[in-house]
Amino acid sequence: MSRPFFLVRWGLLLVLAASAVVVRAQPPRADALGSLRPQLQVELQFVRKICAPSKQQMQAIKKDLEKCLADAAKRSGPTSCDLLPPKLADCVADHLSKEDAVRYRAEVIKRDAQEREACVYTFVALVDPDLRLSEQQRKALVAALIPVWKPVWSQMIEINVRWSTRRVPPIPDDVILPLLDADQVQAWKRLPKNLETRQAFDAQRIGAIGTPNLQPDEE
Amino acid sequence: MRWSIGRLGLRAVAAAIVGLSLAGAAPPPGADDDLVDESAKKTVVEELVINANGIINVAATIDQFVYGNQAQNHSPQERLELRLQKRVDLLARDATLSENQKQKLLFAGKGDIGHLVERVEQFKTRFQTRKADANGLDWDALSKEAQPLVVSRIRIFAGDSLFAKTFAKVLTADQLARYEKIERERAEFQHRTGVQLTVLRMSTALGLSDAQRQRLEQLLLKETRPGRGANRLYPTACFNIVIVQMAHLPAERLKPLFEPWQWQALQRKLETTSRFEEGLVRNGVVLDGKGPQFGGPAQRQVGASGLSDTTK
Repeated sequence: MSRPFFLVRWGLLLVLAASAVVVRAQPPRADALGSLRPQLQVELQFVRKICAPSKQQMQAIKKDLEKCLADAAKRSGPTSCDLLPPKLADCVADHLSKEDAVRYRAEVIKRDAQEREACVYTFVALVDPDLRLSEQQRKALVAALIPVWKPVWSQMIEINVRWSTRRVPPIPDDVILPLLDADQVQAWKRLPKNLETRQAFDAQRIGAIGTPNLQPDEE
Repeated sequence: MRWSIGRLGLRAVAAAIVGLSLAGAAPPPGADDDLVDESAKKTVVEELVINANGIINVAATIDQFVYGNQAQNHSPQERLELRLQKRVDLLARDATLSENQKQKLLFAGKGDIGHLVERVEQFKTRFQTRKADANGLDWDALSKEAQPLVVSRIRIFAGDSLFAKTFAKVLTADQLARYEKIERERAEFQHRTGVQLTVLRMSTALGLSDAQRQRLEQLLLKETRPGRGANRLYPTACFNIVIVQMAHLPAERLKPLFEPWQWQALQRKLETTSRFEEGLVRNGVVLDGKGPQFGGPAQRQVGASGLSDTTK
C-alpha cells in the first residue's frame, strides 16, 4: 500500500472522529442563550396564560429574559437552580402592572410548589423498588421531604426522568434514615448519589415533551 | 439497508463511535427522551462488536442485541442469575417467603434463564457458517430477527415463565393476598407519580395556570389507570404510561381544560407519544383492571379509546 494512500485513509478516519466530537458537543442553537433557550419559551408561554400582556409588554419581557438568560449562559449572571428562576420571574414582573405582577408572582409560587411535589413523588417512586417501602413509609417520606426539598434536587430528578438515569439527590441522613428500617438503611446507602449540588440551571431538564413548540410573540 | 462494509469502513465506524463516546455522557439535546428502555435509543451499527482486526464478532454482537450492555464483568447468564437473586430477595421481603419457597423460585428462574440462553445459542449457530463473511451480513435484518429473543429476555420471569407459574403455586393464599396488596399500593403510587410528571411536563410546554394544572391532575387520576411492568418501573415509564393514555383520551374531555393556542400545541405534543407506547408494549407493561391495553390501533382523540380491548 502506498504511503499517500495510507495518510489519506488515516486522515479521513481522524476527520470522522473529530466531526463526531464536534457534533456531539455543540449546543442545539449557536446563539447567545445556548441551551437555555427553551426556558425563554417556558416563561413567555406562562406569562401569556396568566396575564395576557400587550404586545409591547411581551416584547419588553422577552428582551429582559433574553438578556438574563444570555448572562447566565455566559456565566456573567445568576446561573444556579436557586438564583436563576427568581431572577427570571423579576424580568417578567417588572413589565407588568402592579395587580398583574402580584397575580403572576402568586402563580409562580404555585408552579414551583407543583414542581417540587412532582419531584418528591418521583424521588420516592425511584427509590421505592430498591428500599421496598410500605405505603405508610411512602406517605411519610413525601411529607418529610416537601418542606426541606432543594431546587437543585428537582433538577437532578428531572434529568433522571429525561435520560433514564438513576443517581438520586443526596438527601441528608437525618431526614431519611428515621423513616427506614435497618435493611432499608443499608439499601439507601448503596444507592448511587448525585453529589454535584452546585449545578447551573439546565433547561434540558424539561425534556422534549416539556419544551414549548410555540413562540407566543411570533404568532 | 444492507450493511456491507470493508475494513476501512469498519474502522471509520469504530472511530466515529469512539468520537461520540469521547464527547461526553450527555446525549445531544433534542434526542428522544422519556423512553422506557435504553436499547430503543441504540442503532444497529452502535451495537456491532468489532474485533481488533476489524472483523465483526457475530456471537458477541448477537449477545449485545439480545442481552444489552456487555461492558460488565459477568456473562449474560451470570447477570440474569444476579437479577433473579435480587428479584427473589425482594419478593421474600414483601411476601415473607420461607427458605424453601425461595429455593423453589430460584430453581424455576434458573430454568427460565437456561431456556433463554439455549435459544440464543441456537440462534447464533445459524450465522456461524458465514463467519468468514461477517462484515457482509445484513445486520438490520439480523437485529430484527433477534427481537423475539429480546422480548423473551425482558419478560423472562413474567407471563408463562416457570418462575411466574412457580410463584403462583408456592405462595399460600395469605402470602399472595399480602403481596397483591403491596403491589397494588405501589402501582397506585407510581400512577400518581406519572400523573404529577405529566402535569409538570404539560405545565412547561403549555404555560398552564394553577387551576389548569389541578383540573388536568384530577382528570388524569380519574381517566387513566396504573400500569405494571415485567420488570421494575422507573419514573420515566410511570410518565410514559400516563401520557400515552392521555393521548388516547377523547378530545371532548381534554379540550375544555385549555386555551385554543394551548390545545393546538398539546395536540402536536400528543402526536409524538406513539413511540412511547411501542416501548411500553415491548417492556410488557399492562394496565391494571378491566379495559383497553397498550398496543391497540392508532386512533387518537376520536371519541373512543384506541387502546386494544383486552384485560389483564
